[in-house]
Amino acid sequence: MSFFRYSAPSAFYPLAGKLVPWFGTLASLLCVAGLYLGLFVAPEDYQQGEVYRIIFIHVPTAWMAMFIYLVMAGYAVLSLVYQTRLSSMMIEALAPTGAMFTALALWTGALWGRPTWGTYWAWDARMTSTLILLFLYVGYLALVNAIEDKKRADKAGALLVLVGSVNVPIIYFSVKWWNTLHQGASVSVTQGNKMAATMLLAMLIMALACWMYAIAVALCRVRAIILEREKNNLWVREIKEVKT
Amino acid sequence: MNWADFFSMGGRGLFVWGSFGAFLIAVIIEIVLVRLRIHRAQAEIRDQNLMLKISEQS
Repeated sequence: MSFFRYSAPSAFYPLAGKLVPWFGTLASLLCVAGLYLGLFVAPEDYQQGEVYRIIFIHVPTAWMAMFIYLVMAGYAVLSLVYQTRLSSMMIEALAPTGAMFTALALWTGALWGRPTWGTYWAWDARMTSTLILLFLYVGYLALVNAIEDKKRADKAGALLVLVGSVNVPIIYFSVKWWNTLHQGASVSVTQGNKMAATMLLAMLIMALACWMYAIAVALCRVRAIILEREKNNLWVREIKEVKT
Repeated sequence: MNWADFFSMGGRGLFVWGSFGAFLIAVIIEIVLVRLRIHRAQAEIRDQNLMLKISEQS
């Protein structure tokens, strides 16, 4: 049995169906644990007081916004090089979730910025590049939906995602490269973290919850996309969900 | 713990709950939309099969 046989939509459709409830359950358990730790256990911040708790939504959603885009870029490479249908479908399945996380990162950032910096929005490098990320997600979806011929739509979409991926390192390093209103990284691979242990733990659990959620929802959406695109193929008529 | 204190979040409740609330609402909306989409796709194929069956019988 080869791992690659799952790159066939007909094989991936039932596999994804089996995986969705597992990732969904994991996501909800982690979310409950993360929210409990973040709202009830983690202490108040000595500088910001209670409002810092926005971090438990803001940082995980911002991480996912960047991470999902990188995963899409990975699938874009596969799609352009090997022309696998499933890769294009995965890009299409991930984009709405990525857009949602980006919008949430911007929204929670604004709500955090107002009480701590005195402004909802500034055109600083990190915020502007994150806004561009949102436009890339939305632009990709608009492009793919505007082109009638699916093959061409997939190619154009993959190319857009790939070109746009230069924006992700710009977001990540923006706080180092430019003098931004946005603070620098609180958690870094090279310098360790600057947060209290429970705060860090709650944030990481929420990030993991968002990650599992993104997998569950993208797998469910890719199943819908597979059926929408393959509805004229024979195997689709035989799936167990349509048996009467 | 006092619930009123908990919800006021040191007077910044609107900002904190505006963030957590938006997150939960967005996630719920996305789950509903995705379920609708897969159910619609499955229903379309069910209809397709039914039409096929009818045309085979006649």
